[in-house]
Amino acid sequence: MAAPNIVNVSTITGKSATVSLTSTSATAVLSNAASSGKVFKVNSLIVANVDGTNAANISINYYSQDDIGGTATEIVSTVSVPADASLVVIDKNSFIYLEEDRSIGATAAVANDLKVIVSYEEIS
Amino acid sequence: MPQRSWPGSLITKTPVTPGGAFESNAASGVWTLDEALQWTGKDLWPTGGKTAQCLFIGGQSSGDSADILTVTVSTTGNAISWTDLTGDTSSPSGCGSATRALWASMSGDTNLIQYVDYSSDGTTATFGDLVQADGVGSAALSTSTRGCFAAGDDSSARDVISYVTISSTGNATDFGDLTISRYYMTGMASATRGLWCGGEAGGNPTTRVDYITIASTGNAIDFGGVDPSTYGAAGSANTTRGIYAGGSTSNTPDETNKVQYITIATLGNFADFGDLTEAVKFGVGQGSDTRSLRAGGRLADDSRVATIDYVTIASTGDSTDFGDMTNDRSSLAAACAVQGNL
Repeated sequence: MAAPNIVNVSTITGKSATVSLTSTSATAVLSNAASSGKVFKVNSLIVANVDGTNAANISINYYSQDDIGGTATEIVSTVSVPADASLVVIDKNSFIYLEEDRSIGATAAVANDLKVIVSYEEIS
Repeated sequence: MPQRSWPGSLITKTPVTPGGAFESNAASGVWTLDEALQWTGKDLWPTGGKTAQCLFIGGQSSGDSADILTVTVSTTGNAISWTDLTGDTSSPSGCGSATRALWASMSGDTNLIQYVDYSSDGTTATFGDLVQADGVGSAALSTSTRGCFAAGDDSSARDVISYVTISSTGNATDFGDLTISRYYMTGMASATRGLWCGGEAGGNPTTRVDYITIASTGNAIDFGGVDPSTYGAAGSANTTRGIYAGGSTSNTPDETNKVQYITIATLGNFADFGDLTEAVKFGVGQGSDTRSLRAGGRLADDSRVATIDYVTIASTGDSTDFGDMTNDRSSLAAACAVQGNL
């Protein structure tokens, strides 16, 4: 299926997803499967540092294939999130459409310190 | 991204100013990328992986310098203040490991050893006591496990060497004695051998260089000499080579800008390396396995300087400007998380 024409959609569902970055490897935050017939409008992506002592660095990438495959394009690269703080990486002023066979991934510099919440509209 | 309704003060009721650029500095709140960028530009955004590295501790200025400065050895740039000191902070001697910095022997003739961990928020604490109050003019050196303090002037020159195990707090233990009592000497070490260089003995500068095998205990042994006889020089070392820089060649103002070096594994005399950017005594030396830094000191007119310069240890040559400390200071201590012999 092709991604929908967004002036003529049948369904818009508000959704959120969370991921704990338990390793320093790239981790999928949101993935739109190939031929899903959907497009995701990502309204917000917030990274929280749950470590109370040290800042930790985060990179958020846009991937050219689903499940963080293909080519990564940096949305933010090695940005520091202070201890017990949150960083708004995407908000409604800088929303991103996630088309079919695309994904967003996060890479933490330190395992188990960072959590990501993404809020999006699933449009079909 | 425009600044909008995600203030950094969202969690607390009052606006938050980030505590600094080190990873342990506080900045609770919900921040936009724009805010993070602004604070980063002011060098106040806590940054993951950024910890204090090469420390310049206390020392004398117009009053005592009651703080610890830090620089990153692999780059150049001005030192920034990391944390405050308490109590007597003039004329300390410093050493440490990759994780912990120690300093002791201040002009108040105290035997107190203090420490700070590089990964901490900068909180200093008591480590223990020296074997005796070394007082002003002592020197220190260390490997990754053991720190040694020696000499100093507590109304008379000292010859006592004491040591601590850096990873565990506690009082120092007697190590042995120097070959001659003195003060204002310079400590440096490879991974196995510690050198106590120059200093003032019997009221005059000396060429004497002693060495100890750090992992054992025992009296120091004659190693060779510096040339000319000097006291109040700065020094550091990597695993193979020691650097001895500046100092004063007499009790009248006669500061030298001479930089000397030695291969620590081989007994002998120091050889000419190059020149400092200025002739100073009572500066301090520290560095990495590739660079030796000299910070601060006093000029021949007795004024203090804030300058930092460096040499590349592996190749002889003159010093290059590194940056400045936050204020003029002399008789300070230094310790480095990437100390060249670790």
